[in-house]
Amino acid sequence: MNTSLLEYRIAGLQRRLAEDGTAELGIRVEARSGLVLVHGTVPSTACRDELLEVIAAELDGLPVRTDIALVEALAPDHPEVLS
Amino acid sequence: MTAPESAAGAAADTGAGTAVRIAAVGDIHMGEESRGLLRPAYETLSGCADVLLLAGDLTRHGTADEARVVADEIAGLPVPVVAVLGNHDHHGDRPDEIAAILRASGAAVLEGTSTVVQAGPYRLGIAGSKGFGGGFAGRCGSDFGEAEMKSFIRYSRRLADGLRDALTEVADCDVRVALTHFSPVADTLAGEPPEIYPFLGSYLLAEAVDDAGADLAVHGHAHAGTERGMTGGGVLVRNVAQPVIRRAFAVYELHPRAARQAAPA
Repeated sequence: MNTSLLEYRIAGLQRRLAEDGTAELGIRVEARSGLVLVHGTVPSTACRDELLEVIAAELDGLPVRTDIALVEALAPDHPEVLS
Repeated sequence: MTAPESAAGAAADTGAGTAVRIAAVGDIHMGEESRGLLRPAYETLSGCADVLLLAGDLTRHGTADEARVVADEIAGLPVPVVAVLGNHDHHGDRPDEIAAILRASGAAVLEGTSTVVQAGPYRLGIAGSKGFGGGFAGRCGSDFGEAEMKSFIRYSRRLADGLRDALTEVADCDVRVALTHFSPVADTLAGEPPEIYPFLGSYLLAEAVDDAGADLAVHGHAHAGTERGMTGGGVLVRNVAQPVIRRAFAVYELHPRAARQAAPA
């Protein structure tokens, strides 16, 4: 695997996530030993599906692991009392 | 969904009338696909908060359609809603239209401005600005060089000055909160790559908060950051980006200065 090529492909994915409609600037893309890890939190299952499609297209041919969580939409069970 | 009701029940009545209870969340990034997602939790606010603060990035792409989803989500809530916009809300180059849609739903949308909310016997002053980047003291950009660089820093400074002026407007309130999208401190960015800190906030915001005074500074923007921090002058900072707080909103109870001073040592 050409290291510089991998670096540019990761940068390309992050650029596309920000600029090409998915608007996912909070997603991290990192080269780990032997694979690319994509992780973060998105607001809906539709956003996650869209994200996974882009990742598959941009990183085609590379070993990829994804860890994409959904935001939690429950009310809190207690306040924080500030002093 | 039943969990929000039971969760709010646990928080209900704590601090009501004796503290100012501030619910806050940022970075909800709503679009048509997330319509209705937060409403069940928001409808529990009357039991646990006096106000809901929205710390920017309310939409995904800054479109009017997305803003209408947010407007529907917050319309008619049992507590006042106060918002600032974020960078996503500017992406469609129509922030004024986004703000107008939110205002039509009853929200106050701040940018270098302030509003006062009655919280039981207390007056809560909220000063807001989106804020901008530039970095933190000793590791920040300067108003020097290319026109684009000067423009970047001057914009950040102008918004921080607006926050300072807005906080001064509400100096007579019992409790004051600074509401921004970008972070005033590096503390709450821990977890983000340090290389991108200058794109996540500016010390100019913290300087404005410390100059004018506040009881709490609330921001969003840093999804991988941490919740808790403090300005150099000792003002508590909370990063309420939804991926950070992992709830529909967080609630902070503040005891007004007069009540604190009257309390026995």
